[in-house]
Amino acid sequence: MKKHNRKQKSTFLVIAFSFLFMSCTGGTEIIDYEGKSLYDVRQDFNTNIVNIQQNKSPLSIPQDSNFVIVDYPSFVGELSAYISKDPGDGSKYPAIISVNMLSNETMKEYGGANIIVMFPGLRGGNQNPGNYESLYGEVDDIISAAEYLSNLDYVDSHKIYLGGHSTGGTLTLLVTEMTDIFRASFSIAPMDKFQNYDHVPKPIVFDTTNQKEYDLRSPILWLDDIRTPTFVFTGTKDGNYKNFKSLKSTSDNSYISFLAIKNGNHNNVLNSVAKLIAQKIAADDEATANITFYEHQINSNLHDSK
Amino acid sequence: MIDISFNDISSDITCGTSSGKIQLTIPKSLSFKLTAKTSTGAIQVPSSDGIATTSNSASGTIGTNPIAQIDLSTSSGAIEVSYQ
Repeated sequence: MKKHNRKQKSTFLVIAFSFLFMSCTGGTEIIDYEGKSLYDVRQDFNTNIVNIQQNKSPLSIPQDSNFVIVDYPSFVGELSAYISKDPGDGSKYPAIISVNMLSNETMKEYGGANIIVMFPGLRGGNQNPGNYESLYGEVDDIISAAEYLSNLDYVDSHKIYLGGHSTGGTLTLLVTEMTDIFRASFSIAPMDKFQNYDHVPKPIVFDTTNQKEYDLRSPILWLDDIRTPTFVFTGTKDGNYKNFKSLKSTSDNSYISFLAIKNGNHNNVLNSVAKLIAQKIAADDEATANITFYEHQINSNLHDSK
Repeated sequence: MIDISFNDISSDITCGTSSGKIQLTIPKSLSFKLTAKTSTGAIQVPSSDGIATTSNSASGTIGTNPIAQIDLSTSSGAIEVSYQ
C-alpha cells in the first residue's frame, strides 16, 4: 500500500452529507508543483479553515436492520458511520464505501450480492469532531474509513471499493489520487476543479486568497497520481458533462476509464450505474481487479430504468 | 496510450499493449469485425448492434459487409473505437 502510511488512524462518517458548498471567487493563479504528487504537496500544507461549519444533527438510527452504527478512528477523533452487519458466517466479503452513491433502491443490489457497504460520516458532520473542510480533511477521513474496513473480520481487505456521486464523485477522485488502498473506484458526475462549484449555497470555508487551497481540492490537477482502476461516469445532459470532458482530455492515465452516458442527466444515471457497479464487484473474483464496463450496457441500463 | 486514426482502411488491424488505453478512430460508416479485450477498463464502440460481450471482451460485426477485422487488446486500460 502506498502513500498514506499514517501513524494515526482516522475515521469519519458523514451520512447527511450536507457537503456544504460554496460560492467561489478565486482560483486563477497557476502554481508549478514541479511534478509533485497530491500526497506530497499535502504533506507540506495545512488547510486554513476560516469559516467554521458543522452539522450537529446526530446520526439517526438506521432504518435498514441490516445496518449498524459504528465509530471509527480518524485524525480528528472518532467518527460515526453506517455499516452492513457482520453476516456472522466467518466469510470475508467485498466492501464498498459509498459517498452519496447508494440509495435505498440500489442498496438491495449490494445486499443481494453480499457486498458490505459503509456510509462514512465525515468530520464536522453528524456531531463528529472537526469542521467541514470542503474536500480537504474529508479525503483523510475516507482513507481512515477504508483502513477501518480492511481490519474487519468479515471484510476482504483486498476487495475494498470506493464510489461517489456528484460532490461525492469529486471526493472519490481526490481520495483515489491519494491512496491505492481501493481495488477500484467509481466516480459519478464529479467536478474537475473546485472553482467550478459556482452554484453552491453556503459560504466557502477555506482561505480563498490562497490558490493552493483550490488546487488541492481539484482532482483534475492530480489525475496522473491514480494507480488503481478508476471509472468516471457522467451523463451527456449533466451540467457536469463539461467537467467530464475536461477531465478526460487532461490525462492519459491508463488506470482511468471515462464513460459518457448518452442522454443521462445528473441524477438519472445514478441508480443504473450503481446497480451495474454491484454486478461488477460481485463478479470481480480474480487476484487483481477484473472489471470491464461497456458503454452500451450502461446506456441500456439507463433506458431500462426510465 | 495508443491513439491511432485512419482515414482509410483496406486491411485488417491488430493492436495490442500490455497496459494502457487504446483509442482508435476509423472512417465514418466503416463496416468491420471487432474483437476488443481488456481485463480492467471500459470498452466503447460505435454501435452495440451485433456485438456480444463477455466479462472482459466484446466481439462481433458492426455494419454490413465488413471489410476489415479489427483486433484490440490491452491487459489494463480503456478501449475506445469511434468514427471520424
